[in-house]
Amino acid sequence: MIDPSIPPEPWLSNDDLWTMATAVLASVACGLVGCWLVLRRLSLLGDAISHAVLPGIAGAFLLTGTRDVLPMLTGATVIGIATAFISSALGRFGRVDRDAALGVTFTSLFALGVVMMSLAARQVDLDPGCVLYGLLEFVPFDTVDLLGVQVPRAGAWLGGALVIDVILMMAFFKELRATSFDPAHAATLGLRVGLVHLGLMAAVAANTVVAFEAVGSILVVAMLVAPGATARLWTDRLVPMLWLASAIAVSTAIVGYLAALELNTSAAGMIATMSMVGYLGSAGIVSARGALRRSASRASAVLTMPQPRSDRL
Amino acid sequence: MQEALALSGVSVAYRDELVLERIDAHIPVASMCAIVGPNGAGKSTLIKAALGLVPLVAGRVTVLGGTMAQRRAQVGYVPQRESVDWEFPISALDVVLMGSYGRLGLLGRPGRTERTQAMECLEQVGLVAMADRQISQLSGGQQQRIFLARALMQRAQLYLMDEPFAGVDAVTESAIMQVLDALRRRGCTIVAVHHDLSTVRECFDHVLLLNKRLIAAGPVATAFTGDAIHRTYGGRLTVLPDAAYESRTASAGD
Repeated sequence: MIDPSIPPEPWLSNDDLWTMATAVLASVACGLVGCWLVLRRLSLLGDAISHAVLPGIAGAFLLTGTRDVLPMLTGATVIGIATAFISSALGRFGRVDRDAALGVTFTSLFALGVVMMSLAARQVDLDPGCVLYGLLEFVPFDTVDLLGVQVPRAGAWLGGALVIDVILMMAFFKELRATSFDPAHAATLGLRVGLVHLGLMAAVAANTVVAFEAVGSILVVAMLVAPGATARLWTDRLVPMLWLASAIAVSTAIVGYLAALELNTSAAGMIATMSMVGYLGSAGIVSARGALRRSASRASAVLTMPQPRSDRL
Repeated sequence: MQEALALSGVSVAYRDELVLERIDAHIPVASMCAIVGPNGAGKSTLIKAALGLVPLVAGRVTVLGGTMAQRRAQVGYVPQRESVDWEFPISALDVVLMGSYGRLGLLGRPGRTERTQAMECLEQVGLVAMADRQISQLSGGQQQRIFLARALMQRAQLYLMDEPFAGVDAVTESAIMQVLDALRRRGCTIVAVHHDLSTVRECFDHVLLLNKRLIAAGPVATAFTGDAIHRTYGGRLTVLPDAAYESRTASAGD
């Protein structure tokens, strides 16, 4: 029999809520920055940078001997920008195409990072596995005092990163949009195309680092690319795409976390899986809808008159 | 005569290969200049070199009596239609509004004034009805006119256009031509990469024949000769002006 004097354990504990909030913040921060990667067809570069920041993180550990976020952030951002530079330089001078250049750059930097990481692990309390897969479940045990409230350190950093992302995106919306759509024309207008690109790469690196403690450097890729790619399937407008990507990021983080609780499995893994489910589901629905619309317009074209072409094929 | 665009000794290389060799050209203000030449002659590269989009190995570009950096606000650019991703989530009006980004400054954003101006530019190219369409829903000719409207939005003095007539039908071509004529009447200069040799005489008053080197340049009447065209295109001559139909059919055999 259930003892009525013991209150039933709530479905979600306080720790669960803090963890979920952290996951949501990571997902939205990465998802918003990732939208621009999707728009610029640079999703692979996001992948590359999130792998390549590893030596930057490890280097910061080795140099400072601590797990402070600031040195890691600096190290990783430097390496992230270096990746963008190296890959474009290799693509230009090495007579290999961009994809191959990226493949070479990020796997070798990642490998270097793994080596440095295992060296660092001898000196610092550091588990290479936690860098790769993240430790979302441990987020609530490392808190900071924020206006008298104990909040998870990772969550505080991610919240800060999200605020900065949004401010920068609003301030430089025009520049981001013009340089993403038509960089050559934007350059003739006097916009700083190269600077915007570097800024975006730095933002990808910075967000990756801030999120990696929670979700790991590999799963962060899903958070970067999936919301933007999914939102893009549903809308042809930029601002709605950014809103929709944020909504998708929030919901995959929540659904993924709850599913992980239910199934008692890795939260980060479950969130990434949910992103994939969302993307594939959307792709299925959108393409089925498109096929339906096309066959409908074909049918009406047969029934009525030859129509001007309505879509580009 | 004042020069809208002056190139002196301009050379451009991709990797180790020279694609433009010591180009000297002077395009007067209020002229309409066609750049013609075979594929791979460096026509687009010449436009990009003038705009400062590709580095010069040697030479100097003077735009409206100053450097490109000084005159940026007075130069409009119409790139090749294929150079952008038309699936990009943006409306026709927003593309045209980009023409105002240069004068808005770092944190500025287009407001009501810019919107009104952009609608006027759309009206000039006959696409007001398409303002809210996503750009992938436009036909090739309409996309070309959107690029033209974006350049009009810049209110430039010199317009550099990379194949503004590529893949457009006759109606669109004459619509674009009318806009260009109106610009020239206002004293603007137009430099356009052009493919159709048969329309050079009727549409342009100046010409620049290019095949990695400058073959001939000047007013159409003096520079656009059968000999110069032959030297530009070499054996790959496909179309001749002056309705030289016999010689065209004769050369079509090889």
